[in-house]
Amino acid sequence: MNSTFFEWTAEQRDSYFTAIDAVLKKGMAAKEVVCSITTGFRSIPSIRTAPGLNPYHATVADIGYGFDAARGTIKRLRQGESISLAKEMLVFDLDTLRISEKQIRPNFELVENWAQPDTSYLIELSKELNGQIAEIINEAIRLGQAILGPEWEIIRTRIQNIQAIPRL
Amino acid sequence: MPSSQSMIMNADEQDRLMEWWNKTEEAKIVVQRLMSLITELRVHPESSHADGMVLFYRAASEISYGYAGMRGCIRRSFTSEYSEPLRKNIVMCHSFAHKYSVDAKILLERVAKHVTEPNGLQLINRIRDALMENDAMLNEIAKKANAFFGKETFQSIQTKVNQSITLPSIG
Repeated sequence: MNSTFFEWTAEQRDSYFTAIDAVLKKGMAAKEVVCSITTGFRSIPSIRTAPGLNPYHATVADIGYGFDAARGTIKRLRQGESISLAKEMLVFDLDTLRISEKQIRPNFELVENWAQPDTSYLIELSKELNGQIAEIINEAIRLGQAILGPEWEIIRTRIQNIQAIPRL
Repeated sequence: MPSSQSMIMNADEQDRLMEWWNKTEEAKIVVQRLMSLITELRVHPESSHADGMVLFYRAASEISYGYAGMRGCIRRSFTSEYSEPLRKNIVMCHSFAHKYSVDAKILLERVAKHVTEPNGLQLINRIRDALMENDAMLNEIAKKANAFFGKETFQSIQTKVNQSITLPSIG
């Protein structure tokens, strides 16, 4: 049976979307700057081939994707599109952000070892912004869990099959 | 912050960079919709495990990353960080989005071979259209980049970017 938003009132649905979208929106600038710094690392001789840079880059891209996808889904729903797997999509993107958030620090610690003094400000800025991004991800998930209640965990269990597909 | 490399942008350049930024604002809607459709394809029972899906997702995430990086670079360009390395950085981000858009189109067709059921086919078609909208956006953004850098400078930075990821010739 498809999980839908049909059992909710329009107001409930809207407050859910507004709250989560507002939280993710707060993180957009941070993720944009982190992506730009990560690309810049590809031009810095001491870091460009550092162990850890590829998985760090992939994690940063995963996070960027997750923010965009979740916001895109919310926009589609708000425009009245009926998406039968909407809840699965949102829980999947938000819960995958949780996994990426756990990966970002250890991956970045590997990269950091190769930084020279002239790049330390980029390293420090990345760390600070990654911290902000982590808080925003956790806040979005808390909201999702609060609004979906026990259904969050049921859906999360279902989407684990897809999460288990390797993402490199 | 490496102040020795800092460059100053004149008012004209600032205007043209703002136009570039405004175009990425328009692109955001296209990119977010594209990524949402791709999540739908990833959770769709018929396509979630299809051949090519992992790499298709990877390419999609790099498109999102390229756009985000471009916007991050523009944000930083309006600070004292504006410099030659940052100019190269923004061109790299644009080329990332472009390069992985090509890969995404190829990989989507590989994934599409698995899909036979009408809902899945309709979704594939919507992603094809969204990827075309994304191409149109990247073209419009390239025009803004041309206007900002000047065509020759833009091409010369693009050449440097390509050289930096190519095996150098001997001698």
